[in-house]
Amino acid sequence: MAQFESPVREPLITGHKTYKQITDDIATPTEGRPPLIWMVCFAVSLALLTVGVISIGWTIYKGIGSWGLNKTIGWAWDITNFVWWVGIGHAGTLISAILLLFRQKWRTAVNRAAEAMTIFAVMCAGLFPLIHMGRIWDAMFIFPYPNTRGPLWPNFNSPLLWDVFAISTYLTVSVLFWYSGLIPDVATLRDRAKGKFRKAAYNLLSFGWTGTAKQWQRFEYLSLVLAGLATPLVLSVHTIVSFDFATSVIKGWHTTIFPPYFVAGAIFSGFAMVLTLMLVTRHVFKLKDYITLGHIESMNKVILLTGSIVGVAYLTELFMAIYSGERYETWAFLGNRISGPYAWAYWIMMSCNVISPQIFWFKGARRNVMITFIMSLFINVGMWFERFVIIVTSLFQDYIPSSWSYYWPTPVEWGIYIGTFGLFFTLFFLFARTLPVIAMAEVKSILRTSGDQYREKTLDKVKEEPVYTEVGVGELSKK
Amino acid sequence: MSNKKYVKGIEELDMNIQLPVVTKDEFPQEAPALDYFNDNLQKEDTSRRDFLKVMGFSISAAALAASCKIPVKKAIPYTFKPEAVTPGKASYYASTFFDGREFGSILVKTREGRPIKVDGNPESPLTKGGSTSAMQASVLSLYDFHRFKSPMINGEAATWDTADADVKAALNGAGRKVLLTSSIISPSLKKTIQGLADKYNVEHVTYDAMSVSAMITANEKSFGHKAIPSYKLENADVIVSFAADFLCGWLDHITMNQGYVANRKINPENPTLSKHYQVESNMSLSGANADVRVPVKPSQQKAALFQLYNLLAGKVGGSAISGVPSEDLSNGELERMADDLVAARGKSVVLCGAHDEESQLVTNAINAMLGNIGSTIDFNRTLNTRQGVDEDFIQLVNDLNSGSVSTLLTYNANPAYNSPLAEEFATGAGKATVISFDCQPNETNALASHILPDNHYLESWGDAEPYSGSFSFQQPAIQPLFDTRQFGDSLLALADSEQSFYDVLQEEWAGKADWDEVIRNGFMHQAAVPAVSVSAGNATVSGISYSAPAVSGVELVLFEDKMGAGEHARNPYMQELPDPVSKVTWGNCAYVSSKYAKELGLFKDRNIKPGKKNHHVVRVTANGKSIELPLVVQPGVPTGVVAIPVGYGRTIEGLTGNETGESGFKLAAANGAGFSYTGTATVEGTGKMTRVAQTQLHHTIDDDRPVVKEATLADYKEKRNAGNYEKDVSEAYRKLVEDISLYPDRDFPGHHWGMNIDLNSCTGCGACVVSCNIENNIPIVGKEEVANGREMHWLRIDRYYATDIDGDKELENPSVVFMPMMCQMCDNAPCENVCPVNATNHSSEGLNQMAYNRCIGTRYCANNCPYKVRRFNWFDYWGADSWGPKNDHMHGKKEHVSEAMRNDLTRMILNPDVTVRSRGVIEKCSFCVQRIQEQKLDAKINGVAMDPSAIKTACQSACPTNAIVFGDMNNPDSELSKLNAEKRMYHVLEETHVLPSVSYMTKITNSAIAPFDKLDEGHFSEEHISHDKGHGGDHGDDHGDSHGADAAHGADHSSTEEHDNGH
Amino acid sequence: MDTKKVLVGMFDDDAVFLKAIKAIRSEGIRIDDAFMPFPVHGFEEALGMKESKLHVGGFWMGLFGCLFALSFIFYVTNISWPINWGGKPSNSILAWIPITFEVTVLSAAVSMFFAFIIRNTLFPGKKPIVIDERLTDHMFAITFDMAKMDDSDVNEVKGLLEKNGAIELKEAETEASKLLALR
Repeated sequence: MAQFESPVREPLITGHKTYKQITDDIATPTEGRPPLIWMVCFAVSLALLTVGVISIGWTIYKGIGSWGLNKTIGWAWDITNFVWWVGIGHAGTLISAILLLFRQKWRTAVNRAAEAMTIFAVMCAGLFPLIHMGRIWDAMFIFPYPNTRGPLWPNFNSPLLWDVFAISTYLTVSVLFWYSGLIPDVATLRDRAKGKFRKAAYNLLSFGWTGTAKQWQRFEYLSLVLAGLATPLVLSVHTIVSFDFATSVIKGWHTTIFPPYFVAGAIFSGFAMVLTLMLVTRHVFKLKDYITLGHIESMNKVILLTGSIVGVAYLTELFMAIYSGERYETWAFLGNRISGPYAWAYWIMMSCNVISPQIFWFKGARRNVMITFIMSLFINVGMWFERFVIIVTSLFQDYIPSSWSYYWPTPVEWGIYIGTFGLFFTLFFLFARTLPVIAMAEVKSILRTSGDQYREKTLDKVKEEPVYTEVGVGELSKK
Repeated sequence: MSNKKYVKGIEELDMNIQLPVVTKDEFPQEAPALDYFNDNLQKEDTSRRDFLKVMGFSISAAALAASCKIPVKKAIPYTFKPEAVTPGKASYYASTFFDGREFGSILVKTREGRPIKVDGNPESPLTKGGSTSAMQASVLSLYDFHRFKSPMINGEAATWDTADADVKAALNGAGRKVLLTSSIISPSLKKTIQGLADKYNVEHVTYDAMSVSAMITANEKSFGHKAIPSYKLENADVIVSFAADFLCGWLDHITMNQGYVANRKINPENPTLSKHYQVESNMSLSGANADVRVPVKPSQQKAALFQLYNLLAGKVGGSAISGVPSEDLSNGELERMADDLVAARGKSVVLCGAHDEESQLVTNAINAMLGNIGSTIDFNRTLNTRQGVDEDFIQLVNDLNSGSVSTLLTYNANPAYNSPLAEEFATGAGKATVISFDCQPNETNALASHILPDNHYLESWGDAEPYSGSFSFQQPAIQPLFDTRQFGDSLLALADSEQSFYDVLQEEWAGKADWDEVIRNGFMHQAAVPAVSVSAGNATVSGISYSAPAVSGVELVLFEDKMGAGEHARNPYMQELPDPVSKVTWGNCAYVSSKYAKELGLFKDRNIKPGKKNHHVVRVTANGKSIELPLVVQPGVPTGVVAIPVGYGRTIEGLTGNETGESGFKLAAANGAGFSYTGTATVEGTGKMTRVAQTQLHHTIDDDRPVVKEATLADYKEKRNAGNYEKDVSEAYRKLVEDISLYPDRDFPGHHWGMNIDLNSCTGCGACVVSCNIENNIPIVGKEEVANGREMHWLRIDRYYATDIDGDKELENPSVVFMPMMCQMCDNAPCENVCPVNATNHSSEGLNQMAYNRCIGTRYCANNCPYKVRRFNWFDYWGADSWGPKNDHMHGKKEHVSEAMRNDLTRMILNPDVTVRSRGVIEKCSFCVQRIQEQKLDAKINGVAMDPSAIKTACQSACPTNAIVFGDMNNPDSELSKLNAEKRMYHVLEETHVLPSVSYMTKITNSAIAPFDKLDEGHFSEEHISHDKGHGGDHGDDHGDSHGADAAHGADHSSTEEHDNGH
Repeated sequence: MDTKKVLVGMFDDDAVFLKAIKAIRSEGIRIDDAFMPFPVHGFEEALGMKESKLHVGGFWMGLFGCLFALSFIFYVTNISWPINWGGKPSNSILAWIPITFEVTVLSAAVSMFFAFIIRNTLFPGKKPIVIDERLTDHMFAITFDMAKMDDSDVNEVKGLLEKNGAIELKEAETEASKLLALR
């Protein structure tokens, strides 16, 4: 399958890299003594993780009562954090899978880290449905296993059960996708490794990969099919997460717009998180030649698009609340969101998610690292508040006024939330130190079409005749 | 079968099984169940077989415990099965509840020998099965481990012999001897007291906290009877009450409620309704139920009453009272009141709760003038539960202080806590030898050197004559748990009598009644009592002229709420029961109007966050004493009045711990003639903030949600579905609804359980809530958890305020609707669908059921419940968790109330038919499924068809006014089906199509306009709320923003402007 | 692990490498295997490889997962223990779609992955025979089975390799697995 690659496009790999240089650049951070900054960051992450472990331990020891929930508000930070983390996770899959299917070559620079982020984020997310259970020790009841109680099975109508299947499938497929992509790169590290222990460790992880033609052929099939499976999967997962709310009777939850709106929101927040992480990694690991301003701009365009979709969804909800004339719906949106005790949360969400990303209409802003970094943080905050707004403002003042209440988190909930950051960054830092943060094999595969030195060459040629190049890793070049 | 006898060992041949001889005390000492209370097994008369059995059991229990780590702590084997006890089967005993204030004929439910529930005796002609919250909760006091466990001398446990000897010595000593008791309604006990009095020359003084002394003395002057008549509210078409909260403990809770509601139930054939005016200074339960409520300051009450008298005198003819101010205190309501009273002469009643003889005399004059004596006011059957005369007590305090009393015996009276002269009493008591017969420690017996503890009432024999000619009998439902002795027995022992109190009882009733029958029935009602001649000739106002009460500034009102005079303040069920109107639990507050709070500068505009310290603490000073209480804005309290419920702030430790408010009694005064619970006060901020555990917070709703529906009687007469929507009952419509749904409706071919709640009958008293708590083992969670919004009540009574006055943002005089709310048992239950593990699902009889052991606690069901009736076990409230002692300290505080509820003794109250829920599971109303199952099993055993009408849910059986009807919706002849066919019937949130099985009846009021009756009138507009009754000129300045959510208007109580149906 | 002796031609440029493969194959010489640090574009055609059947297996496993999920949920809700959940009918297939979809994806993905590692003789801790450590870095290699060539063949191949830009020639041992054989 040939694809026209305009030679006037900016190169995705700069610095006149050779294959060897690529390997060196990407593999070096995993070798030698970790830099001080890494040690400090890792220590901080471990400390945060410890806070989380203690908080979760406390929750399980004392009961969910150690959270700020009450008779009216049965979910708040737990499920907010769950949806937020799942949403963040989606960018990884999206970058890897959908962009692979769409043959977006720029993804090769970020997909490895994004996939890792997906897995770590889904791990953080998966924690919440577990610990939010009143009786976590009976969590196995949720799985359909043969038992002596009838056998009694789970309720296949419950969106929460769908969630269980969706999240576990998502985690499994993400791990497989990520790990299968890692195998050739780990083999590279193995073959570069000097120490005996290092060699043995990478040997264990590389599964004995040697890079024969047949292996590469199957590798490409696997990538493509997994990408093909992961694409509907990532859409289904957030759709199913949105079903938790959309299938309920609670106003503000019961909305048919939720599935697309949640998916767009997930991509939005996921890209923001990828940007936050990659901008830091790019800086610390000196990978500016691989994660270029072009990459950042592409991601900012996605953010602008999905942010606008989310914004339209918010306005649609408001419009429907007014237009429907349904009193509880109107109350949920007009009384509880744009005004009311939680209006502050709503307006944080609005300004972070809808208003501020509009700055990306300007090319200068899209290509400005600092602005992008700040915006990515804004969006992370805004998307957290989106979930908080959806969950808490729909619950706290619902149908029967006598039960209306208010929610405020306790230190234990703060601890757990902070702890998930600890978990996420601990894993991420470990990953960044031990595995290639950029998919070496994939970057190498686009060097010839997107490396600056080749681009310059073709640019010279193109004056005479247009050039058709063939593209891509993981593509079946079927004729 | 041969006649061969098989023996396992030689012992058996020889064994002579002897059933315990049933003695008069019915509970044989040998009953092994009582092993439980004996720490030492060896003291028991244990045979070798018993020993082997116990050892065998212990070994297997130990093996089990060791292998499965299930701690087996105690076991109660039935070596000999006691007569009348079938394991797993409840026995009921008719008895009598009387705590010195409230009376009730009761049925005690016992399981395996332990009382677990107290309900009204439905056959009693006096209380007709009604109950009160205090009565329901009283069963827990039996298991209060703070009770006296043996005689005490100077705080040390003693033997009865020494204690008796000491007390006899004191009684034989010189000086005056006085027995101070609460009102005694037992004829036999009165006789016994007389016996002691005769022997030792003991004077008997009766003391009632919050007495009606002024009524008693006024009645003597007006009618020649020093007694309280019985009020027949069922005969009254017009009820005018001046600060008498007759629905909440004023005189007789149960019969008053029943009489009142008898005229409030709507008969669709011929709808009538009594008209109820309430003039008061606080927001009482009666005021909340009134058709017309006139808020006045306490100092204006008398003027209002006298004005009413003069108005009536003007209409009927009579001498006017001079000096009455002409100022209109009621926006013309007094005028209308007078018209209504005159129109209903002989069928009306004026009640007065003032502790003021003049007011009572004028009330008597009004009732006499209207010809109500003999029709609604009956002196033939006088009420005996209030006998105390304040003057007697004041005299006693003076005598104590002068040192002329040498020995003071007290029984069931707690003046050291609940009298205005508490301090003087305590000082005086210090000069005498104080001997107490109380069952539980209190502030008064803390002064006593000797305590001869009484049995709990569920351990005692007795009789009662609450109304003359009507008797109720008391029998023990359990052997005394501790080394206590019934008060009557103590008196007899001290009098060196050979008799026991049981003998006295039998002697008393010999020849008058068939003892076995009256004990079995629990009551004896003399249908005809000798008529008492009442001369109303003296019921005039001669000699009375109006003099303005001397008050200045802020006025104080001390009033009784559910907690009465603090008798049950140490019962956690009572503390956790929300106040019907303010919804405050665990302690009392200073209630003021929002205007006044603003004047003080202590107005917190947003009381919507539970668990936050969002109430100012104020210091209320009156009569030179002050207490600090949270300031709570209570709509309906007149501006310039601070209303404080008494009965809180007990200082003696109980199951509740000590977080129970401040005693309002400290602010009460005693003048020469009696006690006074009103007066001048000062209120000042302390700069402190605190949190108040309210189960319902203040919110505005500006939209029109049809949760409670109301209509006026006039509208209802015109249209039977007034306030409700027009139901289309046609077959075509039914089919249409069926077809609209994506899914076919499920069938319920057998029974289909349902419930109907009549908002007209519900007075909001809360007996059902406590009954539900006890029946279903619902945990008490304590103040902190209620403040966190985590009370566990399966049944709650929602309170809604409404106002029909345009611009009444301050909600100065709202009308109130009470709505009992529990699981609605939806047939399309949103909760069931979302449970991932099937822990909640629908039974074939329409019950929404919970499998607690399956629940993993995702709380999804609770979130998805539109009625928010599901409750989650945030902590291990009952100690039911397999996590065991590690989890004991819920908040690290040992004295926390839930700690008390985990005590082995306290846990005896648990109903064995209902699972005790562990931490982390959801629970909710089950329609008392255990009672349904019990009926089914009984029917099965007896081989008959089940009678669904015999099933009474716990809330239903507790309700004194029969507001709740449970039944089978599949049976067209059931009472429920008939009610459901009425046009007043509606389902809450019917439009969500969750198909609830609980239906409600539109509330019909007798006021001019019901604020909720605008359902068919289109959308909210100014005209619909323009029925201005002219309450001050303070409104109308800011209705423009009434559609903004509450951020705009800010005021928490302005908030409660709920236009609930319609516009 | 069975091994075989191979002749290795090493390249440092993927374009040259591809061209060499085409050239050598056009001479009718059978290439035993090729080693790459990344999938060089067009290597399948150059090597004349057949399509892999990995995805076919994935499809069947996905179909199995789909049918299994549907029939299992049907069994549970209608046969094993029909329960009334919120008044909905037991046989509500719409509600089963999410889980069916997830199980489908899960079985397809997991089976594909395991097929991938099994077919490629990959497993954790496998000790691979590395011809040259630079082959996972920046070098490319073409191998020829020595057992199938006599000396003259070897020389011819060497010559062709050198002619087509191989920068290094050597003999090495490599894994002899049918599963990895170039087809």
